[in-house]
Amino acid sequence: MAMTHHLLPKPASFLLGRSSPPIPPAHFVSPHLSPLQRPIHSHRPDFSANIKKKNPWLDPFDDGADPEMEYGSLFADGKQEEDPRPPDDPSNPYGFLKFPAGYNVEIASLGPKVRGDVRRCCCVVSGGVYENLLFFPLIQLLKNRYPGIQVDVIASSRGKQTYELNKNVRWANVYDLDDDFPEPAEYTDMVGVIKNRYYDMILSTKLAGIGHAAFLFMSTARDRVSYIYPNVNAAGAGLFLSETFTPPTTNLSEGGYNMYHQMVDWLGRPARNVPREPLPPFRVSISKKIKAFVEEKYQQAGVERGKFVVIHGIQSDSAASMRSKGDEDSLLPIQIWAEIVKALSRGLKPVFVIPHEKEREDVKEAVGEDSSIVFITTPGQLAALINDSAGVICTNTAAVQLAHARDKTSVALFSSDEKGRLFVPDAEEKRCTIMSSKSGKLIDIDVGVIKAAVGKLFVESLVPV
Amino acid sequence: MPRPKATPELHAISDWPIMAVMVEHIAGQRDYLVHKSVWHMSDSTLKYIYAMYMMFTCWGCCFFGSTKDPFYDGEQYRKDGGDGTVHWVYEKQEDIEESARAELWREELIEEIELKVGGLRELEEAGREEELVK
Repeated sequence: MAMTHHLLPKPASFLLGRSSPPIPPAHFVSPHLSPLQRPIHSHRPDFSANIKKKNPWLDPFDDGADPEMEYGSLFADGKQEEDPRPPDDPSNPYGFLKFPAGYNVEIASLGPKVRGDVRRCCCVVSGGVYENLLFFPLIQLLKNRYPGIQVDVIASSRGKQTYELNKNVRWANVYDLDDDFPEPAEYTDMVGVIKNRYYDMILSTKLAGIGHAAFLFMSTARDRVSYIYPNVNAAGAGLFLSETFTPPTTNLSEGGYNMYHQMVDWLGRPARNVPREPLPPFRVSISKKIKAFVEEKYQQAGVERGKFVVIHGIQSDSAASMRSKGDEDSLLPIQIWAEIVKALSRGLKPVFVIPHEKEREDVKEAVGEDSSIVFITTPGQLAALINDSAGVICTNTAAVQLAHARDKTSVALFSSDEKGRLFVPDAEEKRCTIMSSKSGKLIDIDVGVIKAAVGKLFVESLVPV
Repeated sequence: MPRPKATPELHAISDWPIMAVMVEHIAGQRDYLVHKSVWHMSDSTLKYIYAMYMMFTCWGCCFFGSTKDPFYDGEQYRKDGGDGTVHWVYEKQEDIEESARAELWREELIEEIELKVGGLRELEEAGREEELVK
C-alpha cells in the first residue's frame, strides 16, 4: 500500500479532485435537502412536527432519510404482516419452537430496521379514567397501523380500570405515574417489568422531564415517544427520547377530545407505500359478564332495560366522579339535577349514578325515596349501564364519551361553549346536545332551557333499544 | 444508726435465712444438732425449670392435640402447597384481566362474524326472492 502510494501520488489526488463535484459526500448534501429530510411528516396543514429541530445529540451522523436509497424487496414497504406463522400444533412431532409471533430469527432485525415494525408496544398513559378513555382511539390506530401489534398499558390505578372496556390491550399494569417520588422498590420493579418485555415502542402521555425520560429510556425500547414539558422542566428529556411532543400548556387534558392530536399525527404518519392512517372513532366493547352484572344492578334499583335515562355528574368529592383533568368545573349539585329530571316524560325513569355510597342519602332527600340510584365507580359498569339506557344526561364526565362510544342520545352540560366544543367536537354526529352556561360557571346553567331540551329529546327517542 | 432503705428491694429468694436447723432438745443436756438442710436454687436455674415446663406444655398441647386432628398426616397437610407454579407470591390479577380481555376480543369477533353471516344470508334470501319473482 505504501509502495503504491509512493508510486502513484498524483493520479489519486487528481481523480479525487475530478470526481468530487458531481457526487459530493452525504453530509454536504443534507442541508440543501432539509425540506425533504422528513417526508413522513408532510401532507398535513399542521406543520408543528416539521418545524421541530432534530436533536443533534441523539445521533451526530444522522443526516435524515437518504432520498436515493434503494431498498430491496424484503421488508421494504407496506405494513408489517400480522403473523405469517401457522398456529402451534401440539401434535406436531417437531415440537414447539417458541419464537414471538411474526419473528423469523434469521432476518428478525430487518423488519424493525427497514420498515419500522412494531411488535410490542407499551403505552404509558397518565391521568384518570377520562384521559385513558380518550386514549382508546390511539390504541385502535396502533392496531390498524401495525397489524399484529401487542399493546400493553401502564396507567394509574383509576385509569387502569378502563381497560376492561378495551379488547385490544394485552397487559395493563398499575403504576402511579403522577407520583413525583415513587417508592424505590416500585420504581425499580416497573423498570424491570418494562425492560423484560422487550418493547419496540413505548409511548408516554405524561409530560416528561429528564426523570420520566430516563424511566422510558431504561425500557430499552427502540422508539421512546413522549410528551415533554412545554417549559424549562423539559431540559435534558430529549436526550433520552427518540420523539417528543410539546403540548401548548402543562395540562394536556385541556385539549379536550383531541388532547393527543400531536401523537396521533405522528403515529399515523405515512411511510413508504403506506398512506396516512386515519384516527378511528372512539369505541368501547363491553363483555357479557359486565352487562349481566349491571343489568342485575339496575333491575334492583327498579328500572327496566331501555326505559331509563342515566344521570351522571352529581357533585361529590369522590375520586370516582370520572371528570377530566382539563375541566375542573364539571359537577352539579343534586338539587339542580332533581329539577332537570322533572322534565323527563313518564315512560322514562332517571337513574342516578352515585360515585360513593354517602351520596345516596342526599339523592333520596332531593329526589324522593323511590328514586332509582345505582352505585357505580368503574367505567366498565358505567358503560354497560349507558349501553342499556335510552340516553344520558350528564356534565363533562366520562359518561358523555361513553354515550358517544355506544351511540346513545346524550345531553351534555358544560361550563362554557368553548369547553363543549373542545370535549365534544361534531356534537350533531354524536347525537349529543351541548348545553352551556352563559356565565362560564356550571352552577349558573339555565335549568329552564335544559328542561325544555330534555323533554323534547327524550320524548322523541322513546323507542325500544 | 442504719439508714432506712429508700425502696424495699425484692428478691426472688427472700432474705430470710433459708437454713433450717433441727435441734434435738433434751432437758439438762446440751442440744444435739441433728439435721441441717439448705435448699436453694439460683434465679437462672429456676428460669430453666420454668422454661422446660412451658416447652413441655406446648409440646404436649401440639402432640396430643394433633392426635385428635382428623386431617393428621393426611393429604391436606402433606401435599405440595401453592398453585402449581413454584412461586411464593401469586400475582394473578393481571393474568385474569388479560384473559378476560382476550375473551372480550373473541366475543366481539364472533359478533362481527355473525353480523357478516347474517348480512350474507339476507343477501342470499333477497337473491332467491328475485329469482322467484323472475
